[in-house]
Amino acid sequence: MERKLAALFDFQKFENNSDLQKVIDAVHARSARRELSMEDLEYVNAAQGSYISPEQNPLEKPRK
Amino acid sequence: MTTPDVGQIYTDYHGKVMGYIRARVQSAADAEDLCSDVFEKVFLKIGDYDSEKSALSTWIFTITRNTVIDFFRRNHPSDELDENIPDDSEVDAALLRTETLSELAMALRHLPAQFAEIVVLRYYDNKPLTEIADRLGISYGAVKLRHQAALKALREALGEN
Repeated sequence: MERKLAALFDFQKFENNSDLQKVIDAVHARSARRELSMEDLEYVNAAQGSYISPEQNPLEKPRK
Repeated sequence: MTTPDVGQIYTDYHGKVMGYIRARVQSAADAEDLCSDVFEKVFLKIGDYDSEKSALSTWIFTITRNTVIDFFRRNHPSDELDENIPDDSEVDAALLRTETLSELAMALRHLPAQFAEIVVLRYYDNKPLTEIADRLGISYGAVKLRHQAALKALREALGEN
């Protein structure tokens, strides 16, 4: 089955069957969306990690 | 049996042949040479083409694929022979028809989305399962299980034992 799938998807790269291409494009779009949301998550995590509150910031003058 | 018109073949298939070659060969000049080689072989062998054995598209694809494999063996013997070109010597040439691609598309549509995703990433994009696991953010074990389940479902859908 694995050889068959490899051969069929290789043939697809030549043949560009529109039915199969739609499935492939949908999978790629799904993957791209997931990667983007993972990047967003990393960005938020990084931003949270780098946030220093004024109370924790040694450069911040103590407020009276 | 009538022999297909070579001029029409060139018009109909140049884009497909060139697209397949360019996806594998970095140098544009090499790709042009290979494309010329393919059509030279097609025109030389067109008298041998038997429409009862395979579709014209499959026949030209096989010549194209073999020409690319020969190119890698000849010029880059130390490179891995492009892993993206599968060894389909055990695959029945009659399988390589556009109808089979449509059947595969339908079978993939009936799979759970996460199974179809693994199949496409593994067999179209040629990603190893470890990389797919990273991309999906799940463990290698989970990808392996989904991969096996997807193959089983496809075997059933495509009427394989």
